[in-house]
Amino acid sequence: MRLAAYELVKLWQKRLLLVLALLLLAANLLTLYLYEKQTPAFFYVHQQREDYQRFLQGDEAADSTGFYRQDLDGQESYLQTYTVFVEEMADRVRQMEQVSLYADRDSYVHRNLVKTQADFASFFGAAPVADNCFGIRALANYDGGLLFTLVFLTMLAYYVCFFERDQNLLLLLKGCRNGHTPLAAAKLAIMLLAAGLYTLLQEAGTILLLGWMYGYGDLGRMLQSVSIFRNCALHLTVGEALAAITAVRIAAAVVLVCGLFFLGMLLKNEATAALVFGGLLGTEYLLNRFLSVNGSASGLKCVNLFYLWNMRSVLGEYHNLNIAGFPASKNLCALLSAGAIMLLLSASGIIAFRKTCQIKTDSFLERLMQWLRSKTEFLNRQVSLLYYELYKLLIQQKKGIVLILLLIWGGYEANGVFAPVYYATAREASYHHYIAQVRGPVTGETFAFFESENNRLEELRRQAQEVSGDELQILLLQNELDRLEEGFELARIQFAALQEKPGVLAEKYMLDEEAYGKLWGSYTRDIGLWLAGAVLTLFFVSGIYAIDEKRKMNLLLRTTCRGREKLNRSRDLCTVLCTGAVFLIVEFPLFLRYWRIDHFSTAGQRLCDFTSLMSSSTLPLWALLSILFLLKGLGFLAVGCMGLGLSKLTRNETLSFLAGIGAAGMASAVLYRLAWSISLGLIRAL
Amino acid sequence: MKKRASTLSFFVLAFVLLLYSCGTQALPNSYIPNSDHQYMQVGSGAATVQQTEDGCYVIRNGYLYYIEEGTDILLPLCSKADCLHDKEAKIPLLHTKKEEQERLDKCNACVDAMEMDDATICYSDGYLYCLNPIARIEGIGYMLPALYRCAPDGSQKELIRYWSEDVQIMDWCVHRGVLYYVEQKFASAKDGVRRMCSLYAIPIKGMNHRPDVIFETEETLEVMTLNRLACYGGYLYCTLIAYASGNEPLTEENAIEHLYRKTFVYNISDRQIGEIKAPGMTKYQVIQGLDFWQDRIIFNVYDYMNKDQECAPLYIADLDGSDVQVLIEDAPVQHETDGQYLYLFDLHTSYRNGEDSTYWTYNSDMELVDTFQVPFDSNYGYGRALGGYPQAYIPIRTIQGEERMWSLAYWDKSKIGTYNGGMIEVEYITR
Repeated sequence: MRLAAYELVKLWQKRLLLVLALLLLAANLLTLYLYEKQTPAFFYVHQQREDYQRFLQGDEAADSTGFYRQDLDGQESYLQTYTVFVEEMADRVRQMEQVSLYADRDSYVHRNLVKTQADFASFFGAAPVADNCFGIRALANYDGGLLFTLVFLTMLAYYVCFFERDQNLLLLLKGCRNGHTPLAAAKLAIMLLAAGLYTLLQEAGTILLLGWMYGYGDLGRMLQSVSIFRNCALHLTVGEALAAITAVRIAAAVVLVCGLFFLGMLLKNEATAALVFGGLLGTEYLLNRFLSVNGSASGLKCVNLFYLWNMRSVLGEYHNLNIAGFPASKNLCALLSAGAIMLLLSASGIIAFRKTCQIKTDSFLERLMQWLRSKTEFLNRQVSLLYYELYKLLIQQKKGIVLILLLIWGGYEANGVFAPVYYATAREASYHHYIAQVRGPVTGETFAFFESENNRLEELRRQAQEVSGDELQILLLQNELDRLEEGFELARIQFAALQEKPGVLAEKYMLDEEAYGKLWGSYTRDIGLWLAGAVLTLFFVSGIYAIDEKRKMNLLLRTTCRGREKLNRSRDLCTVLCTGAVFLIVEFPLFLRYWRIDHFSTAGQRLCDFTSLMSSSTLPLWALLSILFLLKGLGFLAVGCMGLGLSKLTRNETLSFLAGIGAAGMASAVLYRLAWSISLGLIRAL
Repeated sequence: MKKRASTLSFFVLAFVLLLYSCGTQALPNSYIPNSDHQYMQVGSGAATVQQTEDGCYVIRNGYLYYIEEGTDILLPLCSKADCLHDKEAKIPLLHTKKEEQERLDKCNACVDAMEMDDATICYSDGYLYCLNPIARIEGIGYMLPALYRCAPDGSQKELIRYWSEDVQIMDWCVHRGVLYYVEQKFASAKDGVRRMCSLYAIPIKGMNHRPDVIFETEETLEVMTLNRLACYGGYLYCTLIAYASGNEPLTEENAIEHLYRKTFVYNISDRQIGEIKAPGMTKYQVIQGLDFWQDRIIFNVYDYMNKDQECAPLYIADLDGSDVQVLIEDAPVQHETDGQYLYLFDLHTSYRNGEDSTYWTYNSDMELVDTFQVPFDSNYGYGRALGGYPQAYIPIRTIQGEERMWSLAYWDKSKIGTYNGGMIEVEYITR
């Protein structure tokens, strides 16, 4: 008990962890707020809450736009269908049992039908009630808190498991009077307590914020009053559902922390542990993303961290797993699995702590790098501070391997830009074909081309109508028209719209607006690339200050002949170089995609002359693209500076990396939710 | 010792060879129910009905249904009692990708959340496969062309393959554990828009493998379509319609000279491609109506120089296209088979004349056993698959006002022989 208390004191003294935890809690609330800000409910229910309250009290005049009435009508319509849904279930089952597929009483499908009917039978005659559902819907749609929980748990695991090991204190600590087990158990207990407490605070904050913004209505009404929980077979009220999802998320965090404890005790190298943990999380994410609840591997889908974190999935979906031919509730299976995993990981972690020597080891990669360094010593005859900063970063910290992998990826992507382009429909292909014929400044030739092509297609249409009986002719003409008509019409409409734009026509360009629109509109790729780039930048930059701190070189380095300023400048320059390298490699393929459209031959087009954009800006396309890449570069630089600042502040690579990921992840999550990218934002701003 | 070792080696080798030969025993060149491509269900394009020993699977408006033989209940193929299947509220036109995915995840019978009518099905080796072929047109839906594998009792539905947004799947089938499909894509070139078609094969249980390319259309051809995919025994068939224009532009006058229409036969085990031809065919004549009868192929020849022909020879040949003989000298230009009977008819002429078509029915001995008419519409002069034997399920679409309705016509073919030119009796089953 005393050991646990001491562990708690040690953790409490880690002010940085506490500060970061508070920041993460705040970031979670901020993210939620930013998510909701874009929804209609934020405007109509939160910002105009008085109107909404008046409407709920019966004042129809308060609903000037019909938003509240539409929502209420939707709820009432749902409530009627709910009655049908429950009361006709028995009829549906009876009808299915008439078919031999479902008639075999010893088959899983039949047992599942019976269980389903029994589970929902208790709702016969239930009276769901229409009320304020905005709060509970917003909570059900928000699962961004998982990111912040993961960041906190990882930092917690670092402090509890790796921090003392890195300081070579763990061997000392293992010399306990009562053996090693109490120490390991104490660490585990503290991790569980901290994980539970943090998650509780986070979820409570989320629930309270949404309650303040929207409200939950009558907390005593049945959960099935909300349409997204129609298929919930649990007898929960709305209030109980809030408590239930909090409990589920705390349980998920507790299981996660057991996993981190096990990895921390087993693996002596934090980089290896991070890789393994990241790999497992990634696998869980992919399983949740690509498996279906209806597939043969539904167990892997339902007993999954990302699935369980989602309120709609846990409480809103009804599904049974096939356990030896018998249906078992997915939530029950998940609960039992979580319990078993928790016990297994906890016990394994304690045993690993007892049985293994707790000093940091070099991984295979580190040994390989040491060998490589010994062979390349002749390169180290340099006096440049910048050279040595880069050497420490890329060689000593092995981050050069990641840079090489990044270069390979960049080369692969750049090569892929020049792959042949295909289209699913003739419409798209013919549009690009016609634009390729006329792209460039609008001239008399452009008019002539459209006129002649229009006449040619009109002639084909006329021939197709007049020809009768000649199947081959009809086939020929129709094939030609099918391939070209729709795309030509798109190009013609674009040309007509361009002519109607104000200004001198000769200064305008016909260009491939669809290709540009596609690049600007793919916000998922933009955000994904930015996040990947940010993570890589943080990865490179977070160790710049931390490595000297770790190896106790700081005091020695402070005695530089020209002062510390030169040393810091070299570190800053190293940061800029790394950030620049990441930016160039990550964004170069995108630049090539822009170049491939028309080699920038129409880059003089003003934004206001784009027929598919609602922009009044006279900025030319080349300026837009330049600003775009400049902003992206500045974005990367901001991340690099943030990473450097965190590294300077915390003097701890892992913490600065994790904190940076938390911030970048939060920004990405908000941008993704808002379907917003730098390209779209810039165009909208202009 | 040496002798014992060599004896042992001999027996081990023999055992291994025996196992190998057992594993790779060639399947017969005849129709294997529940494993082979159901050619009798295919009209124009892939099938929307698949029959098994106990009943029939149907796909309509994006939902899968099952009807058991002897019943008239069209049941959505979803084993969930807490699901309203096709009675759920329709997804609005303005929706998110997540909403579309949720609808697909919610119901095992749903394979198209937008309830379009493009998906087709194939039953093989105990599973029902469903392919949604056309890449989504912007603004209507988000899903990419996808292949689902559904459990026969509606308890599972898995996405086992999807294609990228730059292709369309024009035709497909699953035959003896292999998925064959035709991929169509367009390329924009300086001289115009080029359509390219490729025929691929991939084992249905090895979806993560690279597909084998069986056939790709040449770049010199102006491709119109590669379709009419069919499999029987150890052979696969498809028809390519294109123009080989060379450098001169196609016109009314020269089109017939440059017509490139061929029916190919692919030997699955040897991986050899051949062409189906009739003796004495001119370049203005093409194979049409390829079907299967008595473990052989039947087809007739369409003459572009004699388009109004009402009768033509019906040919029969071995599955590899060899040994072509005339089966019937003056046969109506259209035919269907279901393995038991051969049906001859001419819907084009009947449709032009505004009359009902008569179906002449022949047995395996080529004796005319019956004639009949069918009560459903002529499908604009094109035949529809007449289903399997002895029970047939034929999907019928009708338009009532502004609504498109559909039903399943159930026909007990054991009554063939009693119609004597009269109308067949069908039972319409609706959802």
